[in-house]
Amino acid sequence: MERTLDLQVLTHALGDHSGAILPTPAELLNLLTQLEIDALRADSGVPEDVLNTAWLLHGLAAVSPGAADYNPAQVRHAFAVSAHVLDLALGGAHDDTERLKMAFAAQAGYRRCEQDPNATAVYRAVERLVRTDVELPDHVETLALEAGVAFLGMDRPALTTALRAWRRQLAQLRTLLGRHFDRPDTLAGTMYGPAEAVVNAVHHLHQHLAFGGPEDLDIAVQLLGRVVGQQVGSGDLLARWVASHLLELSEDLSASSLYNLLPPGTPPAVARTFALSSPPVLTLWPPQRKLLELERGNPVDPATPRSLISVPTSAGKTLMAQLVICAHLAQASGRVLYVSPMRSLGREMRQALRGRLRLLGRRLAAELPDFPIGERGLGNLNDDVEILTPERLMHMLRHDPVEALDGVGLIVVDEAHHMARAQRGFVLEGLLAFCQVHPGAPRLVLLSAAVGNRASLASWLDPSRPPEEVYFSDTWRGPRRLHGLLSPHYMRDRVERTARKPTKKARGRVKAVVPMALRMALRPTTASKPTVLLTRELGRRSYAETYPGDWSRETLLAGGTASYRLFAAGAAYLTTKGSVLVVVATKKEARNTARAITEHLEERAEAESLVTYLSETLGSEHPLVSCARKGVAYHHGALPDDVLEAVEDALRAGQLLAIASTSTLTDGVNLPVRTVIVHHSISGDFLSYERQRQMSDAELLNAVGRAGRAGRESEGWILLTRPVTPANADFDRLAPGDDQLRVTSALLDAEVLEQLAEAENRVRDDADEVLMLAGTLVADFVAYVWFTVDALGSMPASNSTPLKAVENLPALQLVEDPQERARWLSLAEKVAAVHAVTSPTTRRRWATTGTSLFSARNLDEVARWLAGEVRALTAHRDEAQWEGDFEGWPLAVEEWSLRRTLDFLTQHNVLDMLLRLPEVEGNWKFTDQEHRGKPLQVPVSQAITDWISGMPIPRLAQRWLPAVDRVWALEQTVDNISGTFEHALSWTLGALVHLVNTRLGDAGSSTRLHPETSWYLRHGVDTAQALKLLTSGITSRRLAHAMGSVAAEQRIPSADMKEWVTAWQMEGWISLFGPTAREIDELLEYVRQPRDLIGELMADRTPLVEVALDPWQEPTAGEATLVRPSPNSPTLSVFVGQLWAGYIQVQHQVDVLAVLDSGLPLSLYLMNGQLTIGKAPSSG
Amino acid sequence: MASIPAHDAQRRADAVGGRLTALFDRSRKGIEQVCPWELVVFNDLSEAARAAAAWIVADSVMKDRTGNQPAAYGLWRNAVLSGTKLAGDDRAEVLAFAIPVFKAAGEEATNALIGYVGEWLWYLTTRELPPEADRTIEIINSPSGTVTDSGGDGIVVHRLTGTEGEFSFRLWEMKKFTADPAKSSDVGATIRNAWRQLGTSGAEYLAMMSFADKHLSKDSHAFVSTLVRQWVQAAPSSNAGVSVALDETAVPQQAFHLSHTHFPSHTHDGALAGLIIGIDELGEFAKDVRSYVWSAL
Repeated sequence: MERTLDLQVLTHALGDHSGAILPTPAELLNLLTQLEIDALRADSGVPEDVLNTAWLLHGLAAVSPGAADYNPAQVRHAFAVSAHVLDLALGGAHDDTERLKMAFAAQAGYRRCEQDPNATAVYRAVERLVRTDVELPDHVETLALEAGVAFLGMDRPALTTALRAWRRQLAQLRTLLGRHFDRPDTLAGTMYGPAEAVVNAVHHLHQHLAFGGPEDLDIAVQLLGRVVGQQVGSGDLLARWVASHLLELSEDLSASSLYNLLPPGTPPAVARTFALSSPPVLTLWPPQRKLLELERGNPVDPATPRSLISVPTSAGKTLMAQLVICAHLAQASGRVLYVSPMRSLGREMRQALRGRLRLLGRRLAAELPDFPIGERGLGNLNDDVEILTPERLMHMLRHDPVEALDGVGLIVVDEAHHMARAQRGFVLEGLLAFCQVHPGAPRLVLLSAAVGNRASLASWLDPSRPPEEVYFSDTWRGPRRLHGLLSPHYMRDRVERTARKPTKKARGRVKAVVPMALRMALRPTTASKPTVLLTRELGRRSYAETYPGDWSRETLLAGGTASYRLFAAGAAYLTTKGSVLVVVATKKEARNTARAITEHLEERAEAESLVTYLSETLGSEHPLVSCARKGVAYHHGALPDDVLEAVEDALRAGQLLAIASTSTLTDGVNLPVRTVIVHHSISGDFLSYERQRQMSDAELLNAVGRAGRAGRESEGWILLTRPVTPANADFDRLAPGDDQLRVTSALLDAEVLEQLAEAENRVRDDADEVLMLAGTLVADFVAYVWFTVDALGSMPASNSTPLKAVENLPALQLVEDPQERARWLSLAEKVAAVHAVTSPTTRRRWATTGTSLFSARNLDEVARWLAGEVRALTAHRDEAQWEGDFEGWPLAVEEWSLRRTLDFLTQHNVLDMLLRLPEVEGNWKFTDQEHRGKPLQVPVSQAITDWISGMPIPRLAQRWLPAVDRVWALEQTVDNISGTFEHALSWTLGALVHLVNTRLGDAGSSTRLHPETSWYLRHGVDTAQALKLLTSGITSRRLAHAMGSVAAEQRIPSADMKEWVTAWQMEGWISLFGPTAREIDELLEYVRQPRDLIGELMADRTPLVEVALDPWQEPTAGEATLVRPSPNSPTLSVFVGQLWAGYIQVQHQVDVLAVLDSGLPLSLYLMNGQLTIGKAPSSG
Repeated sequence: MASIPAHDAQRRADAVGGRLTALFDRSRKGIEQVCPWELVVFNDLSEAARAAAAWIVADSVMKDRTGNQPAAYGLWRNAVLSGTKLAGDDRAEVLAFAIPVFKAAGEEATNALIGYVGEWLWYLTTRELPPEADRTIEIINSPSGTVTDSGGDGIVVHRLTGTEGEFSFRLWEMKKFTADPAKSSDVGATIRNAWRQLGTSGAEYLAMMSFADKHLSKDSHAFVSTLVRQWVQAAPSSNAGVSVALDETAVPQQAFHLSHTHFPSHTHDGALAGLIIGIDELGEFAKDVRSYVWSAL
């Protein structure tokens, strides 16, 4: 917004041309400001005179470099302003041709002023006008324009489809014209000539950006030159206009392609990977280009050991991370760990990287639970990239600090500023400090949108280099942003008063009923005066007045319209302009807000598949299902991961209109939307909503950053709610400065320093008291000290001092007060002293749990007891084996079955004991009703048995809470499964089982509890085969359980599951397991046999792919075509002529689809059940 | 269907060298006005002359669309002139060039057709003008295939003779006026509207031209790329014009006398110009053009 709604920019853009025809800069600023306000209203559009000004500015920018008074800044600003207005004008009513013209002019303008993603966003607004379903003569006048719009949209799959269709039509027309040998088969010179040349030029430009060949660029430039030189026809002004822009853009486009930006020596496969996988990256955005062009400290250069990338959200930070990862894999050795404290971000990265790595021939590790279970839990160390939470990496390090980083060449940490947060933030802080002093320290790249103190953080990260060589920062971002404040509005002129009887609580004798509306104060620029919009009446509030206007919390009568309902009405209205995210403080608010939004919306057919999925997963009466029917969802940490992922997918796919989400670190929604409404108390608020946690400035910035989907829309709105009519100064809250975004450590928070003082008192006389600390960040610090002292002391190659990883904590490096540093170090020394006097095996065990030392000790004590019990039960076996064994032969280890392990734990009341640990406390709670409900007991051991049996959630709710209202029963069941089984209990149970087994091993017993018990609990399945699926990329518990049960009956070893699932092919999957579209996608990815088909084609080879032939007919042979999967037919069908011959076998489907999407011209031939894929010669 | 067969119309057209201007009188009007204008009307009111004019327009359109390719253009022309209906691939080929402007019937399509024919009349009568002493036409583009009801735009870039690399241009707004006896419309309103539109859709056209034709030649590059700059500065090199095609019966005695009040930005001498092309029963004339194009299909 500020980029064009700025008097200086407008003055530049208009130059000295203001006068009778063009407005003055001040007039234009007023007009644009009003347009932005209008854009929020129902029928937005742009008045003719403003549109006219936009076109004139577009034309003013036609002056070429080298002209007498060419001014590049003026040209850039003229393009920017005209693009902005023309883009807004697309919101009004215009005929199709006019819309295409405005869209292309806006796109060209955006590209020329370096706002590339907005050009894609504009394409989204007109993509339906890019026609491939009509005959050529019916749109030849706009064909070149459509090609230009589609090209600058950079939506590669859609562009590929359109180009293929148009080029086929043009070829048919050429053939028609040249049907006799004496007739030329060319369209040059005819009314089709210019459009044909533009289409072909776009094809070659696309090929150039997708595959990097310089000859394609040359051909495109030649073709465009022929169009503007009128050598291929003269009548098509639109084609010449488009060609002229593309000609001028072609050099810049080529220069911003990855083929030209990756450091010399990078294999072309890396650029190809990004160009061809989804989302396609044909050109980079300005800050990404700057990053790749860095001469010193370039994070894409494997020689750069440490980097900090700090750019705003929507500047393409996620892509930067992907570039760093892929460039590392292509040029350096070692695996990559991508660490994200936000699970939503991790899921998003997983989706994007899966496709990238597929084309690079590399493997992405499947998602595993946060807590490892023995060696198996470390995951597949042969996978190239693993996406994980700080917790998982920390658990891996605790389990085996050497093995966990063995072979790791790079760690990328996203949203690194979260280290300043309590609890989970400290895990990240500790992780970074430890990895830096680790003897096998890999490269470390941190990314963040919210680092105010970049230089000091960079100095901490790499003290050996100047900070400006360690951090990269840029203020560029994609969409413009408009700020606004929402507040309840009392319609004072319509208040109705009646007499009332005073009560003890409300003494007023007059009941005042006030109609309520929503007030929206909008400020498009910091310089402009806010514009206030008011809605119609949305509800009422009643007050017991003692005097007129005596309206306060104390006099408010029950039953009035709550503020969140007013804001929800605003959110519902704004869904007409694009998706809306409402950030709230609690999970209950998230649900209630979502429900309130639905009251203003109709049912939404697009959300049907989500509704089906949620009904099956959560039960049709779950409130999330009724919300989803209207295209609304809520998102918080008490919902299962697969549900959150489904909700995120639906938001990404445009099925959802609005989402209400909590703001917490773990569970925040990372996806961009058109509008973000922050209904949350924020840092520094005096007037806060009741009992609300305050959002930090970094969290607020993160939420603000979600507004405006780069590439989807060119503008985002960020609206902050206020409990009362706000002042203008409240707008400033939405733009925190560097000072407010300092990243240090939660250890330095006043509250934590108080906890430290308390701990200091406790340990002053008795150092062993460190072992009793629990439930605070100080306890986490103590556990961290314990672990790092233990780990560094046990690592052979380590030459660090024992407290090196503690001294290296950002808290102690960035702290300004030396005394605070001394206090923490003093506590650390006490911990180290206790560690030193604890037996090596005990202190090692305590270091592995990931809990506080207090809980570790408790768990270890329980483990000692349980190990003794196991040994008592199995003593006969160990003795018998001992007698029968020859000296020196190890005992054969016997792992108990899952059932036996669970029975044993139940008999010893272990599960109830675990529920009382500080780390688990508060979980596994049920009440008979939501409001003021009485507690209900649900026995946890039986519940675990039900859960792992694969029973669906609706049945579990029925079984556990038969007498409770169905909706409330479902909600509680989901909450408890997620909070207890999927997180807290499975983590601590995993730690306990590990301790028991360690003790059993140390004691020479050959018996073990089932080591994967906690993972079964985490995933809710009871067969090894199902668990294999769920730890290999399948997220659907239902499907895994169904497949696992059949495989277990057939005694298929879990190691052979992939072959077994593949053998069923699509018919088997559908007839036996009835998978949903989402489940099919996961299965296709799971069974995939990775092949770099595009690489083979580029090397002029002709790969063969197996086809599942139609069993009902004779095998056929001939030229083939492929038909993409559709909702009704999920296979990739092979046709010979009109005849359906079969489908690409499931293990190849994903890779063959990638070839189809690449835009490479193909020739396909089917013979003997194999499809030969070749590269067809390109024409035109 | 045109009452005079195509080959007769063509013969008459050939007799005047295929030049539309040879069939018209062109007279200067309102010389004393800020905005003088020219009136173009048939010099021969015979059916034959009218048919010849319709043929010249139809033939020019098809020549332009087929790029004068002997194959497609010849195929169409021979069929029309010999009264043959094309079939199969031949028909498909000619169809590809004849639609969309000539495709549809109905009132809306006829309105668009009249507008399109009006643009061609402006284009042909302007293009065929003999070279003037002080300037020659450097750039004039045939009407675009995109037909809009609101009227089209055109531009003529003149090279000034006697000075090296100097140019001027006039941006034209083209309108049709079909008097509806049921409504109290008049040409004045159409002209007023046209001047207003010059400031709107004209801006778009000019902006596109600034990019589209700046690469045409090196010495006109700087001039064409700054068309908009000249326009917004109302430079002496930038001029404006309004052309109206109408029924000959509706040709006014006085026109364009208030143009300077409707379009006040450009005030230099010669900044404004008008053109009225009067054709008896303009709508029928446009249909004749269509029928010559379509008669082979």
